[in-house]
Amino acid sequence: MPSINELYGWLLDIYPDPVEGVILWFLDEDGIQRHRLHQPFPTSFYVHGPSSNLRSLWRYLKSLPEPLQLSRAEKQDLFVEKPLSVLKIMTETPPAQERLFNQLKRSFPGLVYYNADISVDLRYAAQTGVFPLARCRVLATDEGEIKTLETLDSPWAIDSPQVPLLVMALSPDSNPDHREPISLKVHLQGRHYTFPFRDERGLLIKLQALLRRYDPDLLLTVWGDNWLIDKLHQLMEKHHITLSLNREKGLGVERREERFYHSYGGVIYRGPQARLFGRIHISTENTVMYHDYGLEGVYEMARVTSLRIQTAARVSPGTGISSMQILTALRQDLLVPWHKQQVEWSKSAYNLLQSDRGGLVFQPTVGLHANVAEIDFISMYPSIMEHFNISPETVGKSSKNSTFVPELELNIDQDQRGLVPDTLQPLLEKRIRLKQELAGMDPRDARWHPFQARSSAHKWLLVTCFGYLGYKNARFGRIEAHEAVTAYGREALLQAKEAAEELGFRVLHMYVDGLWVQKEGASQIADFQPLLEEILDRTGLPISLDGIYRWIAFLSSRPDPRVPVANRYFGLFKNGTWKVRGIEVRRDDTSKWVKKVQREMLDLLAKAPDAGQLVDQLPRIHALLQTRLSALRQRKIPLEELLISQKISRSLEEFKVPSPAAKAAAQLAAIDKNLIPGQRVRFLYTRGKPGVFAWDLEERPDPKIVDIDRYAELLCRAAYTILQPLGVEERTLRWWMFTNAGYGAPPGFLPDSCSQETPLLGDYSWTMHHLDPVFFSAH
Amino acid sequence: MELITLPHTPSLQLLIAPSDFQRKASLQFIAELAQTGPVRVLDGGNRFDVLALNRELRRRELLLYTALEHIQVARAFTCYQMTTLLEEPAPQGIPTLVLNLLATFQDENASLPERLRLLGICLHSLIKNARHAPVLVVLHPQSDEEPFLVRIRENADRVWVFESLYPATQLTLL
Repeated sequence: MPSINELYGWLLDIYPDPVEGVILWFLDEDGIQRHRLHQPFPTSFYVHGPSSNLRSLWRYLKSLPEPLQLSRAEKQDLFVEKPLSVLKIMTETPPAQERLFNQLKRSFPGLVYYNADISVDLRYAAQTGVFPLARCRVLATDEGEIKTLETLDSPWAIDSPQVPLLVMALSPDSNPDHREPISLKVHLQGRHYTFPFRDERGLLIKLQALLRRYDPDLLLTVWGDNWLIDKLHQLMEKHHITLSLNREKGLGVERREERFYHSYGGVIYRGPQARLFGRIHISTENTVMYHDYGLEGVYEMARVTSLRIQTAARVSPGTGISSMQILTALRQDLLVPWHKQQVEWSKSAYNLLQSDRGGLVFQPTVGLHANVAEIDFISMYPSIMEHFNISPETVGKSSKNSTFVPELELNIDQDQRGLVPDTLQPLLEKRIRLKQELAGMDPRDARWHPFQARSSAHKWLLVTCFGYLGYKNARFGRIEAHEAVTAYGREALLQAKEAAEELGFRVLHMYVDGLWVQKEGASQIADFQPLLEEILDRTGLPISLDGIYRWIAFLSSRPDPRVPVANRYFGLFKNGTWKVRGIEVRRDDTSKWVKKVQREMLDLLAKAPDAGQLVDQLPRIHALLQTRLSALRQRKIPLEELLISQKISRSLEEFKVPSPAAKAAAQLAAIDKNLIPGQRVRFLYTRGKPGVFAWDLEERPDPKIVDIDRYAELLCRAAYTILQPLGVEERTLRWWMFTNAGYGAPPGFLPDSCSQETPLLGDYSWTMHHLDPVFFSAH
Repeated sequence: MELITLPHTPSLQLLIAPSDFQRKASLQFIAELAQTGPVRVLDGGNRFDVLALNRELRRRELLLYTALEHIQVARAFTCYQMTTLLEEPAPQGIPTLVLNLLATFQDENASLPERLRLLGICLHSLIKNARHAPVLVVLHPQSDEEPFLVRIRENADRVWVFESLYPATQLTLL
């Protein structure tokens, strides 16, 4: 009888094996040793269809040489009232299951398949409760076969200990899309190394030495997925030197093709992927939201979704939430459809008109407002799903305690807990607990950063879970459930508005899940507390005070200043922090230089002690704009700061009139650098035709070709965004910026009799030393 | 050249037109049919604009609520859903408009043979429905949809293809 060893450690990686079933890598508790263990993992899937077809399938499966276990079972499809009679097919290993399913879907396409395309990490998590980086107790034989695995951890614990992963960072010294890197920088355990690419053999030998000596758990690369791993492979083949990128011997790199897809009217690009076995590879530029939550957020995504760390890093939050739903379904022994076939219920056009609506928007009162509170429902849509039990199987189902969705002719079953709320509940609770902890935590606390990153990862999962209810490929989506969520959301916002007005507040703006309110004499947190309590009482949904603005400016449309624009504002909280939405500084396609100047303008405004004294900053803003424009005209701005970065929305041949981004992409295509929709292209605006210069061309542009007037115009627009709420007219701003006109007086300062051609002296004469001519804005 | 007319008798008709034209034509057909009785709309491209239809009905000075209640809408977002929708038993004698049928077949998650198989099922259902009621399929084919289009054309009783009115050729003086 083989002896049994006990191991306490953290799960690092999991993947299927055609012989051993499933391979698991553990890091032991002292953080020193790594263990490769394995476990037999028979894998099942299910098939449903007419009896005659199932009989044919049975006969076919019996004729196959591989060992299969076939049986009849009764299983529940979430979208079907009664359990289905299905054929259960069990293979010996996960790869055998995958192979067989690929065969069957071609040979028996008319049958309905369940649990057929679920990755091994999710299957294993459903069966054992284990998840990436979970602390486990494992009993295994000397040969490494797992006999018992016990999870000593929960993904919902907020204070999980940090796993001491050994990280090796690899970064080429330049972006390979721009120019061929010269050296590779390596960072490991506080040591830095630089290996030149020209010494190819030396680079491989030194890198291999580091890999062998330290055996890192994680390779954190920059441009690893789309360049570095391929480059290292080319060098390995050329010099016949093997780099131990994988821990698993005999396996290559798992590659996935680049792709793009459409989401919310935009095009999303996903780069190619290079995944390893036993060692984690994270390529920062290909990691979703890496800039937002970093490695800690990636770990958290893996912990709560149960996806392999390498997978969790690269998939969208939508796939993350979908994986969590699949896990819930597997644990509840529900069937997971391969393709959702269930369709939207037929409804009258009148009902469609009523139900097919989004969130409620109450247009803002344009202008500058002081002492405004912003009140937000916390994770409103997920909270609604959880609170009202909205799930594909509960919507439209009458029961003893069913509730009726406002505006829609729809019941929600309250007798059985829905799959979607069941999935969301622990995530919502964890996020709220983290936020509560963070609210009272000193940012210097060692837990502050990981808590912040985890909370951010949850935010993205929760944001997408609502969209996934209506997403065509979501396995557990239903349009009616999606519509029910927005209907409850509109109702909750209206109830909040009524509560605010009844308590004497003026509602300035409402946007889907938040409202901006103001009341004479209300300027402290306590002044708004009764309103929060009243809204919670009326809606049952958690709500919080996002902050109190010292002042906030709601912006109007550029062509017509009488027309407000929702969710386009900038405001300064009482604690001195900004909240800015929809303006240039927040846009991805604004150049760094324009963003910088707009930020400088905001910084000047932040110096005003209150809204009433904002106009006092106008002379300084005027001077700032003159200085920055002068630097632009003297070509003192580094070209990198003038770069515009825009997404390619479609393939080049689909453009009837090419946009500047398409023109830049065409320049790159001419040198065989082909971009696909969803990828970004960086370019400069230049004089003459074609009007742009693609930044990733081989040669550097001559600074003289930069279209200075165009950048000045872009700055003017950004400046107008900030100055418009202060009463500065666009015409006045243009005089200030383009005719060398000096600052004369704040808007509204001039008496009616003072014409625009009249120079003004007096209190503001100190600004007039270089005025010629002087223009004033009449408010 | 012939002007397209509204299908009133049981048949499978196909309209191939640019998206602008088909959007306007579909709205007019739906509004016209809703004046006299129920109509079924199956939307494959999520392009059925109920607000524009509302305006069209108002323009025709129809009883808005009654007309809107006459129109039964169901949307499909994948070729699997479109197949399921078409397989559902259609109410006898009620005209059906299928909008952007092929939009759901532009699905990178299903292989070409699988999509052609599903199209076969869809066509079977369309032909079956067209025995009892008029069925108009409206398409705006993309360049990569030729194999799908050919199969639909082969099975349609009548095919309408949009022809733009070109200006007369300007004669030049020699």
